[in-house]
Amino acid sequence: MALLGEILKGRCNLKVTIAQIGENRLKRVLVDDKENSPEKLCEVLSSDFKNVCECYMDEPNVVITADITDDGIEFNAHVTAKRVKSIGVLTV
Amino acid sequence: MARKIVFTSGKGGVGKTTVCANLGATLSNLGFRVCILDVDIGLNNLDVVMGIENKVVFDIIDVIESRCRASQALVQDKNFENLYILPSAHSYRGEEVSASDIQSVVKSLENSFDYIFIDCPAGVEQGFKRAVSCASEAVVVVTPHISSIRDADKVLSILATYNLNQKYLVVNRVRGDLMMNGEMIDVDEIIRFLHIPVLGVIPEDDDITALSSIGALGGRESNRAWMLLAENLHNGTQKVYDCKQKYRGLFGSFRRNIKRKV
Repeated sequence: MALLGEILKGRCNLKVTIAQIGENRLKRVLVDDKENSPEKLCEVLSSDFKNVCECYMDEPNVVITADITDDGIEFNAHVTAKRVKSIGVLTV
Repeated sequence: MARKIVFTSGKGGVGKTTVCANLGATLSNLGFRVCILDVDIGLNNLDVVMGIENKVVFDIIDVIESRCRASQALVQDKNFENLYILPSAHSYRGEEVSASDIQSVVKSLENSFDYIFIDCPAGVEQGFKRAVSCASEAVVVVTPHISSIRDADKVLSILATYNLNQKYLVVNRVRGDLMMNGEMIDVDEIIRFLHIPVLGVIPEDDDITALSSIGALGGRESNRAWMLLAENLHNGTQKVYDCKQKYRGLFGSFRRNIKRKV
C-alpha cells in the first residue's frame, strides 16, 4: 500500500539506477568473497539473522558458528536478547 | 603520549597519503603536534605530496640503521609549524625492514607528538603488516567504487586480527552530483556494507589534484570536510560532511546538469 501511495504521488522512482546496480554487484561480490571463508560467512549469516531476530526481540545478540561434519556443514546459532517484543509491536 | 593511527585501504590510489597529509595539516593548524610516518618503503610519495622532497636529508632507513636519531630525520612542513614528516626511502628493498624496526621508531617519537599518522602501503603484504603492527587505531580509506570497497572489506577482516582500539572509515573522492543522480554508490550504503563508524566524507576536489602538482595541501571544496574530519577524530563527534547539499533543490539540479555536461 505504501508503494502504491508513493507511485500515485509520483514520488516513487521505479527506474533502477546505476548506483543500485552497483550496490547489488557489490553485495554479491562481498558475499562471494565471504563464502570462501567460513568465519566471514558466519558473520554475514549473523548479520542477516540478527535482522530477523530484531523483529521479535529487543537488542538481540547473534553468534553463528560453523562446523564441518561428515554430513556437510553444521551451523549453530546462539541468540541472546534483552526481552521478547510484545505481539502488538511485532514488525512482521 | 601520541595517538598512533594507521591509514590503510588495501587498494592503491584511493587517497591514503592525501587523507593522511590533509588531516595532519588540519590538526596541526588546530595546534596539535602531528608527525606523519611514511612506511611505504620503496614506493613512498608523502614527501612529494607535501612538497618537502628537496628538504629530505635522512629517512626512516637511516633511523633504523642508526645513522641518525628519529628527531634528526624529521622534516618540518613549510606551511604548518606543528606538522612533521618522517620520510621513507625510495631506493631500498622493503623486505629488509621488520615490524619491530618501525615500532621502535614510533616509540622514540610518541612522547613528542599528539598524533602519529602512519601512511600504509597498498596491499596486505609485509608492508601492510609492518605499518599496522605499530598503530593502536586504524583509518580505512575507501572511494565509492566497488573495487575499493571490496578491498577495504578484506582489509577490515585482516585488521580484526590485530589488537586495535578503534577502526574508522573515511570515504574519499565522493561526488555529490553523481550520488544525487543515482550514478554513484551512496555513502550510507558503503557504511552499511562495511559496518564500521564513519570518521568523515571527503568530496572530490579538483583543487587537491591541482595543488598536489605544486606540493601544496587543501582545496576550496574539501576544506570544510577536512575540518569536520579533524574534529571527529579529536573529539569523537560524528559530524559528516554532506556532499549532496549543494546539489539539492532547483539550483542544485541546475548545478548537477551543468557539471554533467561540462
